[in-house]
Amino acid sequence: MPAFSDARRHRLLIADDDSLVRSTMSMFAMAAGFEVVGVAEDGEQAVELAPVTQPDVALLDVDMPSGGLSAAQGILEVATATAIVLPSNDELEAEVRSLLLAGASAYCRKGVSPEVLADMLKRSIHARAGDPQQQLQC
Amino acid sequence: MRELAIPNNNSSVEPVSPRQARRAGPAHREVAPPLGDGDAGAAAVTLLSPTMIAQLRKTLSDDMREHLSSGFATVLPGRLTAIENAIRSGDREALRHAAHLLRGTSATLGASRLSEMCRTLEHANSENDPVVAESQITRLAAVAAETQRALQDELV
Repeated sequence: MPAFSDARRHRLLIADDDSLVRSTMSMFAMAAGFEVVGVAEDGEQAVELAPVTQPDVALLDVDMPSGGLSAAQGILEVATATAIVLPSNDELEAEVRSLLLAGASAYCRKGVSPEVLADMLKRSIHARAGDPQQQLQC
Repeated sequence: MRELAIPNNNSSVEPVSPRQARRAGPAHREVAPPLGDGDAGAAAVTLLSPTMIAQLRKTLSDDMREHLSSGFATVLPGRLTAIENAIRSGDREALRHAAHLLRGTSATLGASRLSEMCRTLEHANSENDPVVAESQITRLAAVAAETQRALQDELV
């Protein structure tokens, strides 16, 4: 059995061009009690899904086709309450920082543990609800 | 408009065939061939992250871990072939993309050494000498196979 499931049923949208990463992130989130309401293969799909699914938080790969950064900006336009978390490899940190300045909630490295990811998602949701300007990093 | 995936929590995980995970044969550990200078960073990295493996075992159910292990075994041959083709053809953009993809997969599952090797390939900035290219392919394939067996051992 999953070792932790203390999250409320927060709604999560996942976008990554790697099918195994999508599966893994879905498992991590479900094990932590999240409801995965949408899974997208690229940024364009993520933006299309956002107004339909109204996720509490969107987990967007920065380096996927059509771009996680532009997807984040698109989602923030159509689902304004959605927290944005950007997992990426380190090379794009400068670019991610610019998006954080534009309103994304959090950035984390790929390869973080399930518990760290779940904690980041939950804190991003709470931060977005309580203080849209608060930004997190892991 | 394209068809989009709006799954429930039972269908959001994409199916893979567990049988494909067995292709590598019985699980056992091997020592990878010596790494060249360009892989010095990877050589210093553990094959799997003990922290991540412990977290995966603590957090995920048996079925979920089996799914991850078999999923890795399923995607690995194609990812390696893409890298191999890119190296042999000297296509740097294709190599960057293929290495980046496998790097992300590896990092997500705690496969630290493979992820580090892919990072090196992702940022390769010169055209490969054919001999060097062949050695890179051989080393990458060896570490990938070792990683696959180790994940099978640790997760299933």
